[in-house]
Amino acid sequence: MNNWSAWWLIVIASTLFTVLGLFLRIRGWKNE
Amino acid sequence: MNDINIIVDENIFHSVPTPDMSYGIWAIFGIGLMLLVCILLGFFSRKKAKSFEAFLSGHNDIGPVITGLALGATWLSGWATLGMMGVTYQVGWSGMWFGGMWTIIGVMPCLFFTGEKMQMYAQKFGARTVSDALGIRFDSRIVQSLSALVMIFFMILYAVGQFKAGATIWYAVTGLPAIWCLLLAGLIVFIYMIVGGYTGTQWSLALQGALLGIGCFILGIVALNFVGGPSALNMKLAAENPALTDLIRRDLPSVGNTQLFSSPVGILATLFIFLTMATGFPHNVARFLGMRKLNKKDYMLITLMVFLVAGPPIFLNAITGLCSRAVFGPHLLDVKPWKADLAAPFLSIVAGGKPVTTLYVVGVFAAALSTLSAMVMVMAGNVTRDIIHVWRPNMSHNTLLKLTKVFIGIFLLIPFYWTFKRPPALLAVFMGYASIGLGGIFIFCTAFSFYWKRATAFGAVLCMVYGVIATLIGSIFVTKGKIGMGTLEFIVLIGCGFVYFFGSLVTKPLPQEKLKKLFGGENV
Repeated sequence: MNNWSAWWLIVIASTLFTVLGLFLRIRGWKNE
Repeated sequence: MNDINIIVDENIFHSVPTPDMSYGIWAIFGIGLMLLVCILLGFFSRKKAKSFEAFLSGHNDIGPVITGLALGATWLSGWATLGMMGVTYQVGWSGMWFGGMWTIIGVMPCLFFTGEKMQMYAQKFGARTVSDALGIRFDSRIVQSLSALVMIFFMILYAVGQFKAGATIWYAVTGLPAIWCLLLAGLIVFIYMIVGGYTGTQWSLALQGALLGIGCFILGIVALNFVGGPSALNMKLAAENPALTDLIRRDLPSVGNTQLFSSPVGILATLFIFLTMATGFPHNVARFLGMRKLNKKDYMLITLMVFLVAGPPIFLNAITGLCSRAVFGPHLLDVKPWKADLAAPFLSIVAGGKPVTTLYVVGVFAAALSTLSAMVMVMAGNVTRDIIHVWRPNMSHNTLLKLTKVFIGIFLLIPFYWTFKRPPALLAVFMGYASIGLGGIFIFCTAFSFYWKRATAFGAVLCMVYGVIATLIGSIFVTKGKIGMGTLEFIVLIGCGFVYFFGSLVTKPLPQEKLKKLFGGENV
């Protein structure tokens, strides 16, 4: 794999990881 | 002719800058300004810590933006702002795996899985340190005190790295002898800790998080622009040595610390090192102790803040190190004792001039100071709260508060003296050992134990004892080239997990009513 592609892949994967994690975490959140 | 030649044409490299005081003056001005703002922030934002407890972790009233930036600042240290560039400078693209690319994958689980739990332990049970929370979770003074000792042990190693990072920066901008650079770095740390920053107020930490993020981000863009963009970078690296563009450097030994760059096992291990260390670092987890209860919007904000500080700037750090290699070739390795760790500061001088260098220098100090002050606070609190107070509950809180301040001094002096006597060669590798130990142990003892009711004190103690012994003995084997550093990560992590689960399953869990209190009223 080209090194820049690998770099971008991790950057994008990290962003998705954050968004997905946040989504799962706040789903059904009880605002108290 | 200009045929591809294995003999490198030395003219393609930029000459190594000769440091002089003109940059030093800018750096002093920048750092001085940062310290001043930190002190003012501390002065205006800090409610006077009247009690021993409040001194340790504040008043449970800090909001998401500040907590998020502060977490970013404590997570990212001299390793992130200086050491990571040193890694990719030294080995090329294959260094990016260990050079911070997993930063977000590492720090987000810390936020998602331990943030709310720590906040709950602080608010509901009055936990003031991470060991305190563990003592409550396992209903065990032994776990509390032992975990405090283990944290201190590994954090001293990590603190050594912060002093070296500070000293390296001073060399880059002044060219003074090594000893003076270290003394200057030490002096700034002491000033910061004495004049009020030592409480590690979330506000100062947050400012430092923002500064380090901006400094590294701008340097990364300037560096890439300086070498002529992504493809030019690769071409220049390949011109020196095609192996520098490899994602796995199979030409390097697959044992010792180079395993992290040369074999799939080592590269996979870098992912696990980052994944476990963010949650395993007590100074990260401790950020949530002073946080207020979050609502949905707060949670989105805190995630965004952590991402902004710990994401884009750090992804670019790997590139900055590569740009430095393309610009200077291997010549920085000759500048002893700083070597590869000079990659970023020297590049900032050549590519960015005084404004960018000043911003970057301030960023490194922000990162090193925030991590160091947070760690020193954790260590001092560990001794007084989790060791002395636990076994001598009658000691007055006033005495404990004074003792905490004395230990702050002691825990600053130990790593300072260490760096003075034996500065570590490559920052990232040295700090990697502390990360392997802390991460391997506390991913189980902290994160898993907050969710797994069956975990027992015996399991946690076994995990800590194994983790320390395995990391210590293992690091000797890695240094001697008997095993790889990636293999050591798996030996520590898998072993810790095994003894933690085994030890827990063969002993009785806490009584039902106690577990109900800890796990029952979950606020998730």
